[in-house]
This record gives sequence, C-alpha cells and structure tokens, in this order.
Amino acid sequence: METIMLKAEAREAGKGEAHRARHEGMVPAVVYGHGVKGAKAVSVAGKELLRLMQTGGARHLVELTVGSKKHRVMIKEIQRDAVKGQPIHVDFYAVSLKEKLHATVPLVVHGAEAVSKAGGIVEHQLHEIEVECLPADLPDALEVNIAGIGLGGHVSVGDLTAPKGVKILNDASEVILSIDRPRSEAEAPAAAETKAEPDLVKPKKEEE
Amino acid sequence: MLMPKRVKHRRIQKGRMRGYAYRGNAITFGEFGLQSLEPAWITDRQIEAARVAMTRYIKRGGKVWIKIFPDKPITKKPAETRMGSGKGAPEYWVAVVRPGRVLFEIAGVPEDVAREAMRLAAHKLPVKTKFVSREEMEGEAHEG
Repeated sequence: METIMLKAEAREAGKGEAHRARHEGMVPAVVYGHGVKGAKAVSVAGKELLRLMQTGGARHLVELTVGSKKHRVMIKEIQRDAVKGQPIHVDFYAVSLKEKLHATVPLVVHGAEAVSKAGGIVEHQLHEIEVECLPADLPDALEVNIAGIGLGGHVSVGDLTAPKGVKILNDASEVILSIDRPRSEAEAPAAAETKAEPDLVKPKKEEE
Repeated sequence: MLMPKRVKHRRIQKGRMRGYAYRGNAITFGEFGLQSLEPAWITDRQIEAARVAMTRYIKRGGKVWIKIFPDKPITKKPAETRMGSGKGAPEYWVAVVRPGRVLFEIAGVPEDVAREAMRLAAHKLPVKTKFVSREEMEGEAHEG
C-alpha cells in the first residue's frame, strides 16, 4: 500500500474558526488516535484534499504533516455538503503501523457483463466489507468474480479469499450479491388500491 | 397510492421545511439515484407517477427503490364553506422533502438507461433534481 503526503495547518477549535477556514478554501479537519493527545484541530487545502480523494487516497495511508510533526493517518470520515457533495470536514485517524485496525474495503465485481448477457440482474446486498489487518496490509479493494454463477445463484462472504494478513470480519453466511431473474412488466408491483383513510393507533388504557 | 397503514393522529400541523436533508441523502441500495435540490411536499400521486414512468422505461430488468414515503396528511375544507367549525378532512398524503434527499434509486441497468428513466421521473415531480451515482457520491471513508 502506497503512502500519500498531505500538508495540514493547525487551527483553533470551534465553528467560527472552521467557517473561516472554509471561506479561505481550506477544509477543517481533526486528527486523533495513536500518538495524538485528545483531538487536534487542523485544516487542509480543499484542492489538495479533492486531488487526494480523486486519486483514491481516501483509502490509503496518508502522511499528514502538521507543522514539524508527521502523523500516519487514514481518513475515517468525510462530512459532505448535502447538495453540492463538497467535503466540509474530515476526520483523520492516526494509526500505528504495528497495531491492527478495523477498516471497510470496497468490493469490486468482475464478470457482470457475462451475467447481464445471460439475462440476469446483479443485486448487491453488500458494497463494502469490514476487515482487520495491519495498516500496511490494507487492500485497496476485494475482488468478486461472478462470471460462472448462474441465474438464482449468489455469492456470500465465505466465498471471498482474503489477501495474506487480512481477516474478514463479516459473517461468512452474509450474502454479497445475488443473480436474479428479470421480472416481467406484469410482475412489477402495481400501486395497490388502498382504503381511503388509515386506522388510528388507539392509546393503551392504563391498567390500575 | 402510498399511505400509512395506521396513524397516531388523523390531522397534523403544517410544519416548516428548513435546512438540508441530513438523513436519506446518500445512495444506499442501488447504483444511481435522483436527488432533490429543493424543499417540497411530494404527493402520493406524484410519487406513483414517477414510479410508473421509471418502470415503464426500464421495462424488464433493473430494480427501483422509492426512498420517500408520504406519511403527512394534508387536509382541505370543502368548497364554499364558511371559515371555522374545525379543521378540514384529510385529502391526500405528502412526503416532506428537503434539498439533498435521494428520492429514487435504481440498479441493474446501464447508466444511460438509468439517466433517461430518472429524467422521465423528474418530469412528474415538483422539484428540481439531479442525477447522482454511487461512485460520485460515496464518501470514501475508513473505520478506525
């Protein structure tokens, strides 16, 4: 796993400072975890953060430089604007390279074209999977090959092969995706005719 | 038409639609979605019209999720009635939608089909909308 560099500036905690940072094109962030006392309020350049996210850096180890100190961090959470989707706050979790961590890893599906050619519909139940590993062993993604699965079949967590040093935490019986038969138009659920008014929930009488 | 099976109160107050949708603003089931950019009351009929438009376009195949539910009763007084003598009778049901809310999701169809289906559905709705995909929306985040 590669490490990406990112520079951050220390800032005062509080929403006033956070607003000011956003006004200057920065994104307020917080660093906590291994080797950090409490939580340290920082801000990172918005453009650099976007570049990092576009290159898949949100799933990599990041070397965060705050003044003269360097932290090995992972992005734990990105808060986004509900409409524009821009990041408005980032949580950096400082990790120890010797301690195992829990992380979510995306699932990449191969062979979906073959399934759709055969007339099947891939229905995802899980898009990510939870793993435990050392930060250096954290995979970018886990691959799922569905080329050989027929209509009505499914792939469960137990069918995945974890890379060396990675332990999958999800239950082995959990279904990742299933290959469904396409529904005909007639089968599609039509709007059921409902009664004019719903029943009232009656309050329970107090028992004496 | 969608409506609750049971309710606690037959009539409720208007309320206000301030701020953004802090819940239901992400794609959770499908691959593509239709996101509202405005606040509005979306009626049961509008939701049904949008669903029909979508499912007719994608014909067979694909799956559609409706992520809003009209659980708010709207009352109306009969025509040519004098004011007073209580609140009117429940007339229809609406879903309260704030900007950012994902209204519908779709999966199992290519992007161009999903985009066209959502465009047809958007014409049935009283809000400006945006087509979104899981890829662009997904907050890439790690659990520590």
